[in-house]
Amino acid sequence: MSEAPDHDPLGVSGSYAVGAGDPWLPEGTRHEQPADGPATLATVPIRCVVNGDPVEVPQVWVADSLLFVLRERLGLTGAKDGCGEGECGACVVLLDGEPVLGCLTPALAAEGSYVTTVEAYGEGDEVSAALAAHCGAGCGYCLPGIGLSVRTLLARQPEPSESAIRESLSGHLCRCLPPGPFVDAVREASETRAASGLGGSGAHEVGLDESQSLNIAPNPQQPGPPQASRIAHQAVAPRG
Amino acid sequence: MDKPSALPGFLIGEQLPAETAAATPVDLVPAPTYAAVDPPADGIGKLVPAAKAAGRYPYAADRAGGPGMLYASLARSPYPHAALLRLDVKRALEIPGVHAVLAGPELGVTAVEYRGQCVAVAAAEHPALARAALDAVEIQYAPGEPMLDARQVFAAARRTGNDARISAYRRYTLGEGGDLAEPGPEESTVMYGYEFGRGADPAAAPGAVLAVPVTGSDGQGGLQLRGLDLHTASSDPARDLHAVAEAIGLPATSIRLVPAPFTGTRAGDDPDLRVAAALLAVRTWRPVRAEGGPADRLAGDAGTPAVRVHATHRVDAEGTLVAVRVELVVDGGADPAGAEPLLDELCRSVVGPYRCQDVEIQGWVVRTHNPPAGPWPGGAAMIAAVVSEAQIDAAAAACGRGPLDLRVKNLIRSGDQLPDGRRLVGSVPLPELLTQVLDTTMPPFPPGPDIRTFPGTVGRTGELTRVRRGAGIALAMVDLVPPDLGEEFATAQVALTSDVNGPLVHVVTSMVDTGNGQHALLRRVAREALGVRRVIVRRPANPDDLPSSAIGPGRGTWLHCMAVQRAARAARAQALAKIAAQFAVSPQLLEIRDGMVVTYDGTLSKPVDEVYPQVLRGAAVYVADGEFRVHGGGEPSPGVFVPEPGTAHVAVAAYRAVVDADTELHTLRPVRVTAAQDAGRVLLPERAEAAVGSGVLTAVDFVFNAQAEEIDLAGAELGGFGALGPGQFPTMLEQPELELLPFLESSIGELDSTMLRRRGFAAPLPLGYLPLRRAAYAACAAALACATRDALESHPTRLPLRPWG
Ligand code: FES
Ligand code: FES
Repeated sequence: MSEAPDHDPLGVSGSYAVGAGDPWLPEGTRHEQPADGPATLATVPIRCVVNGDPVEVPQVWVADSLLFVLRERLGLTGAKDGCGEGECGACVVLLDGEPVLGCLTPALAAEGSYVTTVEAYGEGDEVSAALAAHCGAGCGYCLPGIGLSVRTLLARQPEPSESAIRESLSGHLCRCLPPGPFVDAVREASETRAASGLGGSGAHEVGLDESQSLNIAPNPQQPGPPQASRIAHQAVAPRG
Repeated sequence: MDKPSALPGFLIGEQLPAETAAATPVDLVPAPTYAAVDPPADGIGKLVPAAKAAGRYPYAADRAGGPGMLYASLARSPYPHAALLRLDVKRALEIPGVHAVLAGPELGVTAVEYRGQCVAVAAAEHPALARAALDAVEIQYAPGEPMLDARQVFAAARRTGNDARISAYRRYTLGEGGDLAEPGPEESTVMYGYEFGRGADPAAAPGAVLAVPVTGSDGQGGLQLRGLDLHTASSDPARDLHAVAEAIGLPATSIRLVPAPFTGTRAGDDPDLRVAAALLAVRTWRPVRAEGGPADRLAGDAGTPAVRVHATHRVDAEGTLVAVRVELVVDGGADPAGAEPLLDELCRSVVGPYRCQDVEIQGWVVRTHNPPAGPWPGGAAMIAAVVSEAQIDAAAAACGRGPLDLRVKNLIRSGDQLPDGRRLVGSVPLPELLTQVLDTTMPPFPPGPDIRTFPGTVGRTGELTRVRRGAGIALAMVDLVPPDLGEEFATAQVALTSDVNGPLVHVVTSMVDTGNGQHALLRRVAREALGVRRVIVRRPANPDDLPSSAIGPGRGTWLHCMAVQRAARAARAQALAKIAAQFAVSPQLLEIRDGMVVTYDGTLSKPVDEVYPQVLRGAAVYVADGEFRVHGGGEPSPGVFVPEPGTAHVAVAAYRAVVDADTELHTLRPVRVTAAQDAGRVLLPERAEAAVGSGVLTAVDFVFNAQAEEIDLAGAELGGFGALGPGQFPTMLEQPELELLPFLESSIGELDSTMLRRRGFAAPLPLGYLPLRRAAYAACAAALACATRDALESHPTRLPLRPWG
């Protein structure tokens, strides 16, 4: 291991680190450099709308995942950390209405976006009620993420077939229950929605109202990160 | 409202001791905020499932440690076998935000015994800093020659006669034993070697541990560390607490283990995580959270299966099983003692539910540099079922008979002998289960038209002409009370009382509700014994008030339910003493059935609604303790279950699996699993169904999965393998449909087994206990293997399956 005085702890870990003043980082990026000793984490503030509330999270490390910021900085523990590497879908949240894997989505990608977590549904809607009724005997770790995928599915396909249900949930690994209870739950939620005339608007009803303005005063000097610093959202896609 | 004052020893919920909040200095460790929901008090009611779906269920990873909480990270050895030469944590500690780094001897590690052994831990303000700190720890290893292949180790030990690495040996014979003679003219012999890899741990739900130090005044204006709260998923808090206390060198009394809900189907959190969080919290006086990550999933070495079984079966022309010889080697990894229960169970059950008069089984555990074998999920029943069913299929082919034919012909019955000489007692309803399965229809073939029903599902769909279907039937048998079982026991306390809303029952148990409805079961048991709807289940304020022993896998629920049942009946006898006097019978002979207090023979009765208001008048409380013990041998007595000497109780299941194979693209798809099980007695249907579902899921994952290391290998060799190729977990799209047939309930309800025995019947286990999940896992895995064999017309001998190499 090198004895160089400017030893960068994140450099050796293979993690993602940036130098202070990189032009593409939003203004306000702080790269703490203690008087002596190694460099620490480069941080930026992030502003977004989470479950309808505008929030500003100061000092987010540029390589922090959206999941980490939601869970550890905002205390929204509904999205779970299952594998941390995109395999299990426990961390699914909606970013601008699209399901993404929170563990693989950089927190920076949420800058200026609408984030929806399971907490947006409070004590629950017809989807969580159906999941609770059919899948409550498992450990429940996968349910919040599955719930968000189900809401997205029902928004697009109000009456999905069994294959469609299974396919749309195939980005989730449930370790406790076979698919049967999930298929039943989705069917029930779909019927409840139909009965209450909800139809296909589900996933877009929280935090995605286009008329709602992003309630953070825009910084005139800083129009937001240029496109290059945006990282494509990691969508939940079925494997295979 | 409850009347806590009337019930000394009960605690409302499981709040932190008051002193925790008061004594904790705000600047160091603010009072944690988790107490309100801890532990999950409701089983499968409505509250817990709703909380799970709403993301409000408090897993250990979700509990707030409070400001100042640190994140722990673990460094694991890249070598399976090495000495630690030099350890330097200085540079790691220089990183700002890193609060503690412990390595090597500070963790009690002086040499590396297996790949992935934890050699250093760090706590920092951000997980990335903790990982960076570990990267900055300088560790110099002196790698030694690792012994990774159990077969080589075993062969070397046999060759040299040095059995230092062989830690256990078992041998069971029925009949003559010894080498098989030359087969007779009409006899056929089938001989196969089977290999079982360690299934990779499924990615989801890695577990997490939160350690919160409890500090207080030292009396001189300073602070001292009083103890530690440890939040972790644990089904046996007493045992886990002692293990942690020993590892970190604190007295067990200073640690409070706060059970957290389970995640996935694992049996509790990784001990490494617990020790890391606890040590770092003690060192830093700050809350520390350790979360499992991908690196903490220890899959063994891909090339070296954990269990090898060499089986020889001989059948005559009629298909009667005339002789069985089995030799098996279990790789115990770095902790061979932990693999001995597996060896025991496997040796006793590897012949499966078939009768044979000439059997010899030999088994060994060897010590290697693989990760400790630990408890095999679901025990040895799965391995036994896969081997026995594969051998029966092979024998059927060899003697030119149908596989079903051979099964029926050799089926074990109550009264038959197992390889260890025990006789089967109780009901063994395999014929009924088998008929049930055979009466169902097969799924339509070919699959389609939706391509998502093809093997390979989306994107990996081949030509229909290359899809072959296989079906396999498998029977499984799970041993319930092993003959050498030491004493296991559980205790409980039940209080029958009333409040303004009528009768009320308090149950105190040391069983943890891990979020899977254990307490709901206890409520059900108490409700049934006492005929009271409102039952409150709690754990004791002080765990020592309700002692229980370590309980083996699959028996915990049974023992605790029985303890509650006995306590409830004792409380009932107290409460009904007056009625009994009126009826002129002993209070023990009164039961409560369908809202009536009835005598045992049902001749005299009185409505509960009349009885309870009388006996519970004036805040009367009837408190009784209950205890239930299980022994492998010894004298049975009320409250102690001992199988009659030389007898065995088993749980049985019959499964059919249908698997489609795309022989061109090399993909497999389990289409349907049909399950018939003896459930003994179903107390909570949703729980029973979930148990079977989880067993089936685990079996599918295991059979169609490869070990973590092989993912890359498969990808490289095969150019990115598709769905259900090696190295991937079946997704929801590829999981089979589960057709769960109505449970068979062979148990006879409330009758005491001692009572039955006195009348000369072979008794079922009290409470109709049968471990559903283990039987499901075993039978399903075996059926899937048989079906794949049928589809491919080959005899794959390795699990997880890798039929194409
Ligand atoms: S945590 Fe498993 S996919 Fe994100
Ligand atoms: S319910 Fe446990 S992972 Fe899905």
